[in-house]
Amino acid sequence: MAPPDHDTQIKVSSDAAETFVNRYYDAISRRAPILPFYVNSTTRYTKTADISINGAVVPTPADYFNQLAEQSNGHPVTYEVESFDAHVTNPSFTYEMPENLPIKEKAESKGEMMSISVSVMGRVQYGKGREAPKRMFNESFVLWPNWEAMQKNPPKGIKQWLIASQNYRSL
Amino acid sequence: MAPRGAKGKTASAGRETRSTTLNSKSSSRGGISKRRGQGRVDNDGDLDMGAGATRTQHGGDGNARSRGDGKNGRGASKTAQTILKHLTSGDADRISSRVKNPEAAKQARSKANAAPVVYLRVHGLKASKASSSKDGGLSQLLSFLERKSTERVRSKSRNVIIRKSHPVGDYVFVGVSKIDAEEILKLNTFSFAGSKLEIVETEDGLGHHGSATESKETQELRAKLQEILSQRYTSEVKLLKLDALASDTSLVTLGMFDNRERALKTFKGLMAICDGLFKTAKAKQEAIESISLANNNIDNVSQVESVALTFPQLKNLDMSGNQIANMQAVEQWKGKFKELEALYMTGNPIEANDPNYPATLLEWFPKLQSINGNILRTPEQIAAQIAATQPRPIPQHGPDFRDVNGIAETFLLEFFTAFDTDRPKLLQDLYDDRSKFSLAVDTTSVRDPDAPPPPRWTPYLPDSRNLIKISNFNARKQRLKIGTKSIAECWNALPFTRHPSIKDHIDKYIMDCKPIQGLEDPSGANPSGVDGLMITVHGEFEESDKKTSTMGMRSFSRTFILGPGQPGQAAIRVASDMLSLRASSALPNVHKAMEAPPATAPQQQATPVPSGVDATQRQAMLAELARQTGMTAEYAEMCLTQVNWDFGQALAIFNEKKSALPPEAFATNPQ
Repeated sequence: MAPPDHDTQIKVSSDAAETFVNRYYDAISRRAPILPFYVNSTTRYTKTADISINGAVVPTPADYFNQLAEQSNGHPVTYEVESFDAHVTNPSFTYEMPENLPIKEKAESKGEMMSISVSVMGRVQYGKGREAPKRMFNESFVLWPNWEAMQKNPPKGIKQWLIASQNYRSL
Repeated sequence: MAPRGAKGKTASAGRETRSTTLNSKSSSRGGISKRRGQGRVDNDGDLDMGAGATRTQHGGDGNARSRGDGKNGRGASKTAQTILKHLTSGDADRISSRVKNPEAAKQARSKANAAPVVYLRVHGLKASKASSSKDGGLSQLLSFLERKSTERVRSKSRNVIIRKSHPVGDYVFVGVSKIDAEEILKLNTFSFAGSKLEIVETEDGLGHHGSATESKETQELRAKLQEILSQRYTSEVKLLKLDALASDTSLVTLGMFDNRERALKTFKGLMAICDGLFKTAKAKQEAIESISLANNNIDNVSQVESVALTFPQLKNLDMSGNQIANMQAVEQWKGKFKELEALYMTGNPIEANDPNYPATLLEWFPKLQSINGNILRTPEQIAAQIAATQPRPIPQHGPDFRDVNGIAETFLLEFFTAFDTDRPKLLQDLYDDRSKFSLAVDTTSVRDPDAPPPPRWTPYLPDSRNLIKISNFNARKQRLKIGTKSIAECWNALPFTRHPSIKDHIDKYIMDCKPIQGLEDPSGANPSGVDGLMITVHGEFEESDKKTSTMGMRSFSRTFILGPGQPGQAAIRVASDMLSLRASSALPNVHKAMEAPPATAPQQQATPVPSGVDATQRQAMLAELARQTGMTAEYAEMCLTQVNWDFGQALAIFNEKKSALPPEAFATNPQ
């Protein structure tokens, strides 16, 4: 096992961030289930995601989901990403790596075992139409690899990266 | 509208209004006019609302303006105003007299733009003997114009050719080349089949649009209606009294209410004229807040539907003394008048037929407060009702600042000062050869429309790593700065900055901080990684462009990941530093909303305690909450902090969230 080279780190981290950002904001804008985005969705991590929304710690993704539903009040609330960036925070991430899980060969050198921090800037629109109020938001994530996705023949549609830490602020 | 004769009382009231406005005219207050200060008073003393840039300064007689002039700028509303002006100055004939003046034509021509086809408007065909021929004399007129003007071309070297023609009302519009237009214009005042021609240049094209195509009769009528409107307007109370129209002698004399169809048309016409008087919807909204349609025998609002279209922002409406019998008769207005606050419906059959009609009206008009002078709901109640049907943004809380040993606090207090004053030293102290930095620019952020535009983005763009815009791998690689040397080069090229002092202006910042796990261990001793902190800071700074020396404000968000330093170096290192930039916009003041200390940060005790709750009280609350809920002191404090030490709220939140709390939140199992 060898850590991923520099180019791999950049490629994998920016691709991972891009996929994540597109899907995540689409999900919260549609108020689709968000649990699959979080480490809470796998038993392979004992740690649950640290979710902080506008300064308040939100215990679970389900609570955040409820807050989003309450916020929407039956109306569309749309999150639109205007800028994002990503850094690899650990190229050889092994935190809580399960020993009994058959990890694919070369997963590490292919950059699949990294932790990635993602910083997002965007706008949130409360309601429909041009007159609807809009605010900026900034959000930071730390993504961890999903160990389950690294097995041979992983379940279909499983997310490769999971939110371990999240910090949201409306600005 | 179905006018069925006068209702004496209101008619006389209307007349009173009229005389007041007439008197006020000399003090240049009067008439339906745009708000003062936005128009220009010309040498007749009339308010000229259409005083656009294209208008020529005319001399004492005011004749030198061409008709085409009226179509510059704002089109119909300007024309309407021009007509009003001439009517009120008592010289309606100018409209026709001035176009006979060749000087006027010349001046109009000289202002024409150099379009390949020039349009002329010819008047006089209708009154000519030729008008009795099959095509109304059009072909005769056209060949007359071509022949006569060709004759006048001195060299006779070319023929004047009319390229396009189109009769509209009393006029014929012709399109010709610019030099031919000059010749044809010379035929102005010539006699054609016993009629004197008027030929002027026009910017109406072939006259498909615009009021210039109206017959003179229509124009005169428009002017008269305009005068009637001006007499029925009270500027002091922004009221337009359109009550008892059928008993208005001036309207009756004009024959405007001879039959139902005519009356309906008249009303539409009145609304169109009103609309034309204002440059912007805002000016209209400010000039007319109230309209009375009382005593007009209206039995269905579709007869006056145009009021809703012309005055969508109307606040007060008087419909009393009409023939509205049920809500169906008001249906056309449903969903309109979104700003209506007061409505009068007394004296309509609906009062007896449908006692519940006020409830329906409140439903249909979202801002309606009072009906027939009875206040049925307050603006606050309306606001609450509206809020209930809109998204409710997730509320803001104070900083979620879960520091460890004051590391984040110390870091932040040093960081921004050092970034402003000594970037090389900052790099040396807190960054190492594996630290990562990148910046990302968001040029499309939401910003305060009144705020000045942001300083130019140029200094940041070469290094912006906004991955939405930067999709090329090499660009992504090159814009990620790794190690002090690379970061130093980048920082060196960035504008000078000045961040507000955190100690003096904490309200200009929002800072959150929390522990994270699994960071790369620079020493390599811990294969499963080390713990660190993630800090997010939102704020603004003043910047000075290095090239242009211009100053400006910029808003930023910056995410730091701090971890333990490499062996033999500083204890703390910046592992990752991501800077996001956007146009300056004020932050929500989350500190005001909640001036409570961070939940688990003992070193933060110095921060101001919330007003009215001192440390002793807080201890008492903590103990009591822990006792009542069975939560640990730590969780009790978190809970109280979230609600700004409101004990009742803390209990409420606990009851709401207790099922979601982890087991470690409880010292003993709650009953």
